[in-house]
Amino acid sequence: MMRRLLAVAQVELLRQFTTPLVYVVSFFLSALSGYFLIVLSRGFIELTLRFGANPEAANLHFHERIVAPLILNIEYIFVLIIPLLTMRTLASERAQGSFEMLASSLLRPFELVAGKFLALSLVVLLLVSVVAVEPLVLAFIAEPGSAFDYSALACALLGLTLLGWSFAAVGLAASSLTDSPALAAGASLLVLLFAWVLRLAGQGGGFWGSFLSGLSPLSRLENFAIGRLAAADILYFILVIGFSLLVALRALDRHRWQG
Amino acid sequence: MKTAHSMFGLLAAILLISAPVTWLTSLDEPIFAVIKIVAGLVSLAVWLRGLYVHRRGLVSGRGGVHLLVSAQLLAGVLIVGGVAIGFFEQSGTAWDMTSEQVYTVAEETRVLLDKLPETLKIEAYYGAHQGQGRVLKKLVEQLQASGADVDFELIDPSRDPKRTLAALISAESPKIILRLGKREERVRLPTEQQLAQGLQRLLGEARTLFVLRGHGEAELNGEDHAGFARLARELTGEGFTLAYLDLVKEGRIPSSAAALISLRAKTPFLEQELELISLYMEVGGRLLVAGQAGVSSGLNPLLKSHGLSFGPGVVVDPQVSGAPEVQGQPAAMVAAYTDHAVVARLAASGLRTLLSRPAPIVMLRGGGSAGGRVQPLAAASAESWVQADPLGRVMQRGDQVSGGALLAALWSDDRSKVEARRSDEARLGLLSDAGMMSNGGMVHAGNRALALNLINWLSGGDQEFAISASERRVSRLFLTRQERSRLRLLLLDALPLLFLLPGLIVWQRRRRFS
Repeated sequence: MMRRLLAVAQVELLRQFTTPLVYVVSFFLSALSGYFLIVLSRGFIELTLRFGANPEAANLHFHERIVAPLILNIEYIFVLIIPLLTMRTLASERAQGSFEMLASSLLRPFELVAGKFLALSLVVLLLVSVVAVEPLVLAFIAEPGSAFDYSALACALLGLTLLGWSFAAVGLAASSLTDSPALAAGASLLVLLFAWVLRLAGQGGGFWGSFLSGLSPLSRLENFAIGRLAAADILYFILVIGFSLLVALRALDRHRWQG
Repeated sequence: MKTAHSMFGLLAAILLISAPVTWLTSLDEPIFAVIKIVAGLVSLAVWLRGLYVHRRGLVSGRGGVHLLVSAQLLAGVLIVGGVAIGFFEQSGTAWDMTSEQVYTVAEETRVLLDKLPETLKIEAYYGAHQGQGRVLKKLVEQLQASGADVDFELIDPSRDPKRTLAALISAESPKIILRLGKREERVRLPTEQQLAQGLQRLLGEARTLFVLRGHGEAELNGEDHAGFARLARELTGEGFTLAYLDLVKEGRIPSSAAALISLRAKTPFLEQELELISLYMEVGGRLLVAGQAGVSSGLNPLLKSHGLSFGPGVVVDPQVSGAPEVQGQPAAMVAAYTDHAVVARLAASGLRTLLSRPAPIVMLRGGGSAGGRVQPLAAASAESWVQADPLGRVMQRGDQVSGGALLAALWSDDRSKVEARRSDEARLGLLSDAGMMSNGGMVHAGNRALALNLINWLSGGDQEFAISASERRVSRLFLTRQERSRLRLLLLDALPLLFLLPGLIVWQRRRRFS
């Protein structure tokens, strides 16, 4: 079973990396995160100049002032780019007619879904490593004696990875429900925008505000971004990934059922 | 026809997705949200009907059974997962991944929280996009997870300007209010240190520190590197009330004095002033004297009677003297602490304590005429030496006295049998550099802890030490124009192109192949 799963992952990875899309997406992600880092650093330099003698007064901490906001900005870019990477995973198999061949082979739906997800997870890891370069540049240019919190950065990147994986799982589920890649991208974008909207709803405050905000994966990233690993947040991402993969699995299974 | 139905589906999604935001952002007029929800539900019904008509196989026969089983399975996963998440939300199970453990509640804070007689209400006035509100929320969750009875409310000033005005919150003022019954305290930064200090003020009794003046002493103001405004803020944070005292004008030491502080007195004290302080010490008074090399301490005659004095010259530690952070001056770093309660934790913490232009403290042989017990607190490294010229810029080890000069010491004596006493023990603390408590000096965590611990010990019981909650170490970033343009080049051009280049190669190869 594992061999077939890895074979699916390998084919999917090959497909991702032999089209320019993943490189173009990495290019934009790198440029945008670089831009965010420059903007945030500029603000930090101004604060350093203003409060150099009394840095506590301005909360001059790299992680709180630069790294955490940078990671929280990247989540919005993930909302836009991950549907583009996932739209073709299963939808194009149907559009090209190769799905029927896969469905009639020995390959089980679980192996197909897990293999595709494994490949997407590796692509997401690549995207996270593109983002990880930026804070490391900051650690390199900081004044001697400045504190750079590597373990908190690792926690923030772990959160971003889980967020990316959950978005990829949602995209895979959307791709399994249709035979049009464009429709799959639109559907997953809509679901992820809903997550964004839920987070915005949290700004209303009160019980409902925090309840709705708690349903959004974007709010779940906040703890990771500041260096706090909460069990509920990890479980939340596992649930989103598990639920989405189950949707994809049931959608593929439907074809066999219906014959 | 199918396209028209798909449009209804899209419309339903858009209306229903945006409805919660409309509802929460226009609470005064919920009618718009209601209209959106109704329109969304109607569109959804039309779409579902279309789905039933055109793709009947999905919901009837074998397809229907499959859909039902799938729905049950997915609902089961959601319910079990949701319950598990809710359980962990309630239990607050979390791990602090920061290297300085900033989200771990300090023992001192726990002790303070245990003393809460009723619910502590925390109000914070931060906008939705201000990161500090987010940090505070997480911090309060951490306090709640440790079992504290705390209520938290985050108020967005742009959404609730009336309440913000009523609470007297402005752009410059502290934005966190702690309320305990009718008492309230305001806190500037969302750190555990500041919250705990605010709590200490709420729970504590008033303790007044009198800063002596009239002899060229430093005053507790000034925001520059050499100013003492931060010390004033820290002491207020620790629950002290601060006041100045001119002994010549007052002619007495107020009964409310928890301790006296002499910050770098430059001219000698008058005989009558020394007499007043001596009498004060005899009845259990508390005094902190902070000197500096090159400044002849006006209190030396009194100190000598207690077995201590500031010696001539300056302590030079070759490791730190002349460094830019001490503006090229002679300086010393504490290399050894004793096991006295004031510094015992500092020895274990490894915090940096840096003094610039420290005057050597001398323990007199045979003690002073006042009796009591003299104890050293902190000393410089064995490689340091005392240089005779305190203002000289040339620092060279000659035949001067060398090795482990004393940088902090204290004296104490029992007064429990004295009638009309102010306390059961008279206490005197000596710091060789007043500048260690300046804004620039307090940047070093060791300086801050040593100064606050010593003042807390002088003014109160042995148990009262500064809250040692973890805080992130500060960072600094200065970039010249050239460095900035190089950074832009790296982040906006070089790195992105590095990722794009393989894509261009792949694209070229595909074109050639096709």
